[in-house]
This record gives sequence, C-alpha cells and structure tokens, in this order.
Amino acid sequence: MKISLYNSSKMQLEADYYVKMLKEAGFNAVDFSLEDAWSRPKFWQGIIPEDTLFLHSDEEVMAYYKPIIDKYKSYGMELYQGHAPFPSGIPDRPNTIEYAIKVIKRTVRIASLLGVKHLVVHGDSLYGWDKVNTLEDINRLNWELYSSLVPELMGTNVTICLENMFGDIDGIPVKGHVTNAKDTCDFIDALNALCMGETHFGFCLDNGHLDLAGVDVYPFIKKLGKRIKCLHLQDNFGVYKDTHYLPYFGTMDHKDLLRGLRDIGYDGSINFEVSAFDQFPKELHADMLNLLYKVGEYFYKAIKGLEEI
Amino acid sequence: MDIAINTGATLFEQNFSDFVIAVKNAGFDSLMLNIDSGSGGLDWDSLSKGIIPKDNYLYNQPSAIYNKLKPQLDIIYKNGLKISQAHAPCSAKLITSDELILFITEVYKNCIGFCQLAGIKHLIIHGFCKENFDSTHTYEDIKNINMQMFTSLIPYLENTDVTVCLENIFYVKGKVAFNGICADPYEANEYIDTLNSLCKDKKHFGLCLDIGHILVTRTEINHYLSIVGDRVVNTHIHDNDGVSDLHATPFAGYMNWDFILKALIKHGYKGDLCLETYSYIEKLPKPLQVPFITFSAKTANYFRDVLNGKITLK
Repeated sequence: MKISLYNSSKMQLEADYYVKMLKEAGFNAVDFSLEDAWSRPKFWQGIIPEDTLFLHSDEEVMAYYKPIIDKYKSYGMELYQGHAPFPSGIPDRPNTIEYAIKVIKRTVRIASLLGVKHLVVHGDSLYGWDKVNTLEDINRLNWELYSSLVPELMGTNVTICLENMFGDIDGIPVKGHVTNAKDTCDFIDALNALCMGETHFGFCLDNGHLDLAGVDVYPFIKKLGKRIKCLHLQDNFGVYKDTHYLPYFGTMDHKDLLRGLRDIGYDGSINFEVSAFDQFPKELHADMLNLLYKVGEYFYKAIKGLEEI
Repeated sequence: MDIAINTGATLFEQNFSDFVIAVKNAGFDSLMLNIDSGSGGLDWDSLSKGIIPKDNYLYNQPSAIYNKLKPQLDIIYKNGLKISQAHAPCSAKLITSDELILFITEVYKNCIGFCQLAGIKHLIIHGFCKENFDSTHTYEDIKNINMQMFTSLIPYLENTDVTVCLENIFYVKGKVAFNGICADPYEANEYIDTLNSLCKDKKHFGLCLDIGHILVTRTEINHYLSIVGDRVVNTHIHDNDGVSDLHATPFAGYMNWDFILKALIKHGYKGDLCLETYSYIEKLPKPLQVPFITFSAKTANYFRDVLNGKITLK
C-alpha cells in the first residue's frame, strides 16, 4: 500500500519538518515537485527566465537534488510520481512554448535520474482570453509537446502522465485538455504507438479538475482503465475554485471515484494533491496529516474491496 | 471555556454510547444535545401538512422528555462529559397555522422544563422565519409571532437557571441566504433586551452566535459583534462554501478562521465553543467518522488556545 502526498519545493528544502511529519503519520511515498523551472506569474506574462537549474548539466542537477533525495530515502519515501513545470507554454505566446518544451524534455531526464517513475505533464487548454488559437490549434500544440518527448523517454522507466484539465471562460471553468474519455484514450494510445514497443504514456486522474469540468467520474475512469497510472486526489465545491482541499473537506462525492478505481483494479499510489499545509494552521499540521493518512488507508481498502464503499 | 460537539441524529441510535466515548477520547469536554433528533422526534413533513402529533413526548410534560432522554444523559455523565447547550426542535419555517405555532410553543415550554431538570443552562430556540417565497407573512407579522412566542416562555423560565438563546438564522430565497431572525444585530438586541426587560427575576435571554450562518448571510462579524456585545453566550461553529449551510467541519469551507478568531478575541467572547458538525460527520464513511471526530476536537482545542492567548495569531 502506497499513500503519498504532493511535496512542493519548499517541503523538499524543509524535509526535516515536512517529510518527517509525513513519515510519522504513515505516508511512504511522495509526489515530488519538479515544477519550479520558472516563476509561473512571470511565465504567464511571457517572461522567460534567464537561467534555470533544469537546463544545467546532469552533474549540476544531481549536485542540487542528491542531498534532498538522500533525505527522502532516509525517511523511507519512494518518489512514486512527480510533476513537471507548467504551464507547458502560453498558447498565444510562441516563445514560451518553445522554451517549455526544451525544459520539459530535460525534466524527463531529471525524473529518470531521480527515480521518479510517473511524471505528470500538463497539456494546454483553450481559454476565453485567447483570441489567437482555435481548439484545433491547441490540440496540435499538445501533440507537438508530448510527441517531442518520445526520444527522451525511450529506454527509461519514466511514464509521462497526461492530466485532465479545465479551461476558463470569464471565470467559469470549462472542459479542458483530456477531459473527454474517448479522445483521451485515443491520444494516449497514439503517443504510445510512437514508442516502438515501450509504453511511456499514461494518465493522472485529477478528481477535482474532473468535478470542475462537470465530467462524471465513474464512466470516465472505466473508459480510461489501466491507462490511469497515478492520481491527484482532492476535494472542492464543484464550481469556480480549484481549491485542492482534503477529501471530505469539500462537497464532492467520493463513492463513484472509489468504485471506478476498484472496478479497473487501480494499483498505484493513493496520492493526494491537496493544499494540506496552507489550509490549516501549523499547530494542526500533524493532526491533519494523521487524518489524511486515515483517509488514504480507507481509500486503499475501498479500492481493494476490503472496505465497503 | 469548554469545547463541544453536537449529538445530532446519533442521540437515539444504538451506537450512541460509542459516539460519546469517541467524543470523550477525542478531547471534547462537552456536548450539544439535539433534543429533537432521530426516532420519536417530530415529523416535520407531517407538521408542514398540518398534522399535529399531540401524543408526542415533546408536547407532553418536561418529565416525559427527561425520562425519554435519561438513558442518554446517564451515558453522557458516566463518561465524564458535560452538556454545554440543548437545541430545541428547529421550526424556523413552520408558520402555516396558529395551531401549529401554539403546538411548537408548547414544545419549547417543555424543553425549558427539561433543561431545568437536566441541569442544562442554555437552550437554543430558533424562532420562526419566513418560508421560501412566503408572500402571506410580512416582516412585521413574523416579528410579532416570534415576540409573542418568546414572551409566552417567560413564566416557564422564571426561577430556573435556563437561558433561552436566540440564534442568527437565515432563510433561502432562490439559491441565496437572506437575513432571518436575529441575523441583523440590531434586531437581535431588540429581541433580547425587550424579552429580558419582561423577566422579573433575572435575564433569561441571550444569543447563540452561529458562525456558519454569519458566512452564508454575508455578515461582517466585527460589525455584528460590536453591536450584540456580551449578549452572545454560546456558539455554533461550522464551515461552508459561502452559499449553502453545509455545517462542515472547520477548514472544510471558505471561512477565514483567523479573522473569526481575532473578532472573538477583540469582542471578549468567553463562552463555550460548540461544533455543530455532526450532520457532516455522520455522512462520512463509517471508518472515517472517529478520525474526523478526533480531528474536530484538535481543531476546537486549537481555537480555544487562540482565544485563551496560548497561541498568538499573526
């Protein structure tokens, strides 16, 4: 049983506080952030960073990450999954797309060096403010992004996981990249067909994003089936805000999620992508993690058919 | 300052003892007793159709309520818990007939007697509110009905230790919550001060501040507290999404708890902290209910530490 939590760069640098607490609560794996290649607010404005560690040599990258990874190993934490930098370019700013693809290619290499088996890479979605692109343009950009990663992936243990996203029109969430089950299966299968017998593409199910996009979770999971390799589990109130609350701290119905994962025989980590430490005062951090681990344990048992849903 | 959680529908369930033990082990000091819950309570659907159950124990005598609840009271006290408050049956919307209003008023009188017998000092009574799209009753009609109802309770309160707590309530129009009784702080003061001026022995009316309702009625808590002041004698603590009265556990919503706690400190609140979240907890999968009760107690204890000055907010 693997139960994991998203670990931000801040958590990585303060592992003796955060990861120690995770270990004490029972967690045995993490979702390791590899996101901070750029400042997201600046990137959204089209500002490319002058330098980023991700484009340095393997030796320099490992010099930075090795002490962090050693610390995680000392706490018995597996790097079950990771998260690549995002957004993968701003659709109406071509310079950001070219740069993002270059950095994400390097992130595949870094994930391989660190032993991160599942790397989540966001695709782009169509936004209400984008006056340049059509949905076909966005789909073409996404195909270019993912297919360009194939050479980096060959011969590694890394699986790129596409994640269901939501777009935004005037503040209202709308269905975004890979939220249609059939299209998503076709897209993933076509990418794997490029990998000459290896399988390097799968899916990361984000139940909160699915809820915001108004997609029924059970048939979606059933259709995706074994393509689902990892999870971003969270909660929200179904409209407007991608809150990333702890499960049962919003109004989502988790029964269909658990039924779906049980029925496809999901056997990956029970991974929470929640704003755990921001949502609660520090005096409650340890108690909150104990509670979240209990939720993970219940989810695991429910998916394995050991607990009633 | 005790920390408490409400009994909700568990009161008459077979596992009530397990619930009480879980609450005690979690670290709560006290319970909020939901008098009308579970089997034997009032059937609100029938009441709304005008069917009045005059054989119900709540309509009978205070001793009938006490006898009905004696086994539960024994379990509570045996496990070393106190009772911070009792909650009378909620009838906020049922103003469909004079007969119904009189029936519910009799139930409230009996609840007062029960509280005196059981040693419970705070009894929460919502009062009547406007129904969704009710075009029959004006604001003044509802205020008169409420004032008459609460005034009629005074003879039953005199020479008791019971305080009837009015509560800031809302009613829903469309999908949005609007001010119900006492959601306007000046109205709350008018009710409480007028009613207390009619009491001969001591003040028998106060206010239960419902913090979840503060959010759904889009009330600024500092403004509210600056007007109602020390009339607030107890609390209902829960969270929501700013629209629906979810009664979720704190931090499972959009409430800014730092802001709320700072307001309670600023206005000198010293009463109990009662989580009114059992309806939320009972919907969770069974294996998670005790962990959530435990976390709720940790949260309530954190709130108490902040209010007592043991933890300082930034």
